[in-house]
Amino acid sequence: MAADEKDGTTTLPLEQHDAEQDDLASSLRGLSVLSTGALPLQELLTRVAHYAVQAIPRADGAGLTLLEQRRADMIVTTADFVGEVDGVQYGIGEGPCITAARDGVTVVSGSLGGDPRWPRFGGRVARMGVHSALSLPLITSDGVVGAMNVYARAKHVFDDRAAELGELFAVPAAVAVQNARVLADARRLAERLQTTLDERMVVERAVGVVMSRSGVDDVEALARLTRLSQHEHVKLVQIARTLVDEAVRRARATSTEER
Amino acid sequence: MELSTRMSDQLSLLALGTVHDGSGLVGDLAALTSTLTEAVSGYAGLRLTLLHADRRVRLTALSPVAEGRDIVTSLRMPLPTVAGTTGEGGDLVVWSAVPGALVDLSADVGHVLSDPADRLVPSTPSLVELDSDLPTRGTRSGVQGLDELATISRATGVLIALGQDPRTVHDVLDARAAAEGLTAEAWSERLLRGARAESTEPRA
Repeated sequence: MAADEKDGTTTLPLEQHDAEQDDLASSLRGLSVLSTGALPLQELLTRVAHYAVQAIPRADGAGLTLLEQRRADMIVTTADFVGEVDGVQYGIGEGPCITAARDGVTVVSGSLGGDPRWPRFGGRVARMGVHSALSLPLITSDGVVGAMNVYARAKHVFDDRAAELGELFAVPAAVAVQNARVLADARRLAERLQTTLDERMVVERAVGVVMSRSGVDDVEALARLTRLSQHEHVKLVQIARTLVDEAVRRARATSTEER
Repeated sequence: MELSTRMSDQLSLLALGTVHDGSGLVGDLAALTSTLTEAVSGYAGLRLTLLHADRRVRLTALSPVAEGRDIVTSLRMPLPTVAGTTGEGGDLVVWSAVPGALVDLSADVGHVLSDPADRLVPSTPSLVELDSDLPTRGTRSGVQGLDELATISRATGVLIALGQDPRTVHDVLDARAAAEGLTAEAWSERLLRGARAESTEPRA
């Protein structure tokens, strides 16, 4: 950063400013084309974290924490050292990400080892060779949905400009994270429901086979299948599938004989 | 968010005998409800429509917010774009009691669900639809269509036991029902009543 001769404020050299804007724009474009419908949630969050590293100058790695009812629910990282740092942070319950998520504010530290805000966390990660952190809350209209941690090994890496770029990136990232969570939850429910429904109908079809063969009603037919399942220690749906397959084979054999 | 006992019971019933027990469904529904409550202002409920053999089964879960308030906006998403293993024709509908509450989610979800290659083509139909699926006055929480589908599935079992090819059994059932002017369910019920009298094996 360079001092402006006229008013004493700091300005960026034009080339550096343009390069940063290009990186940010590229990361934002990446965010906008993330297909949250197709990617597993964890993979999507990891990509968001990678875009953060690209958007914020001199970042060595990033992690993204998804909050569920104010607790860290899922944590993804772009590099192993980030996982180790976040492991310390969540293990002892203090650190920049926890502060950012709790207070909903951007948190910057240029010397974690000497930062009085997190005395236990700072010392431990400094010994791991990580000295700078930028933590950004992911805020939507309904509150904090998570937080993003960006780390660098060198001291005093993240300045006001880095925080500004990070905040610009965090706004669409928060929306992407929230949408990803809606779609991931919807996908999980829909897929389990579909599988359950399909399996349940195999059982009902087997009930029909038993009714046809034995002349019992549906309640008794199901009871027979259930007893068989328990006796054989085999899931009811597997018993049902075997029974229906046998009925199909028998029907085809009869059909062949009649010809 | 806690689900009603009735809804939990219905989900357990749906899972009868399958490898996926009802508690998994209850947990998944609670998680989605909780996420939507955080993401959507005035979240009022959802409806998930699934298809089995071209027949619909619907899971409706109204939020307590919906009680005593009008649901004024809806967002419909085709299910195959959300969950790859579900068949064509299913969908997820989200409801809110706050006008405009689903506009942002619609835009964002519509954007990410659309094919990037088609996104700039103006004639591409929208994958998500706003306000086209508001609930009717009598809409209640629960699983709809399951009993009817179970009856029809049992009837297909009877037909298979009588020699019908399983690949065409639903078509045959529909054709026979239509020929007699009955619904598939009514025809199936009649077939099942007759199955006791015409069992293929001696009774115990």
